[in-house]
Amino acid sequence: MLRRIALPLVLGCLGTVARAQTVGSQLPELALEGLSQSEATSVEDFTGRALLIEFFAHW
Amino acid sequence: MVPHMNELDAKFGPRGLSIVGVTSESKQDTEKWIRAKGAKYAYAYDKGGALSGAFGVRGIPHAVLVDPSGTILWRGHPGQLDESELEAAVSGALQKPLWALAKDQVDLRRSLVADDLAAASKAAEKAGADSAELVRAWIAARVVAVKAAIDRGDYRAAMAVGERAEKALAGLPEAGEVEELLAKIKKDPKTKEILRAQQAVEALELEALTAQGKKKTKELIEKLEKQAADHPGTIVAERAQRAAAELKRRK
Repeated sequence: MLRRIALPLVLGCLGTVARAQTVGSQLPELALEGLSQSEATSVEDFTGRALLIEFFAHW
Repeated sequence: MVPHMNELDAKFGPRGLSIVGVTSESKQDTEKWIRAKGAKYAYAYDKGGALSGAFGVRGIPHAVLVDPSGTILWRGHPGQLDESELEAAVSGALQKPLWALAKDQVDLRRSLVADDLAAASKAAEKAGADSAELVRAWIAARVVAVKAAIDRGDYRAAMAVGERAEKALAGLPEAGEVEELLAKIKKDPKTKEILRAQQAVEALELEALTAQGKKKTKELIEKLEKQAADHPGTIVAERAQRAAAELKRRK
C-alpha cells in the first residue's frame, strides 16, 4: 500500500535509502510537490493503485 | 517518451495504474513543456533532486514501477518497460482510485490509507454498496497479488507483498489464506533457495548503483552472471542478466 508521503528525504544515510530502492523492496516515504494533472493531492491518494514514477527532464 | 507514457496511461490507467512524471526543473518551463508535448498523465516536482537522489537515479529518463502494496517491481529506462511487468503491477490494483470516493467517506478512506482492511470493511458497510464492493475487491486483490507473485516465481515479492497483506487483513478470514501461502514458501527448500538468490542479486544490484571503475564493474558482472547460470529459467536469472546487461552498457 502506498503509504503516507511526507518525505523528509534527508538522504544522509545512503545505505538506508538504497535498501528501499531496489526491486522487491518497499517504496520509501516520498513527497510529490505540486502534483498536477490529477485529482490526487498526495501520494496517499494512490493507495491501492499501481504507480509508475517517471523521472524526466525537458532539455 | 511522452507518447509511450500516454499510451501506457490510456491502456493501463483504467485497470489500476497511475503514472506520475517527476522533474527537478522549474514549474514555468515544465508547464510549457507538458502542454507542448501533450503529456496526459500526472506530474510533480522534485526540488533539489531529493527524490531522484533517494532512488539513486543515474540517468534520465528513469522509471520506477510500484505495485499496489508498495513493492518496487521494476526500475530502469521507461522505453525498456515490458508490458508483462505492467500486467503484474495492475493485477489486483484498485480500478477506482481513492479520490473517486465520496468526500464524506472519511473513515473508509482513513482505514484504507492505514491499510486496516477489517476497519475498512466496517466503514464500507455503512457507506453503501459501491464502497463495500470496492473494499471486497481490494481484499481479494491482496490475496491475488501474493498468488500472482508465487505464480511468476517471484518469491521475494510474494514474501514482501504477503507479509504486508497478512497484517492488513488481520481479523479477516483472508489473513489465514495468505499465512498458508507464506508458510509454503518458507518451508519448501527450492523456494527458499530462490529467495536467498534473489536477495543476493538484490545486494549486487545495490552495489552496482554506486560501483565505480572497470575492475569493480567487471567483478559485479561476473557475480551476476554466475547467479544467472546457477538459477537458469528463474526470476533470479532474469534479473541477474538484466542487471549485468545494464552494467555492460555503462562500461
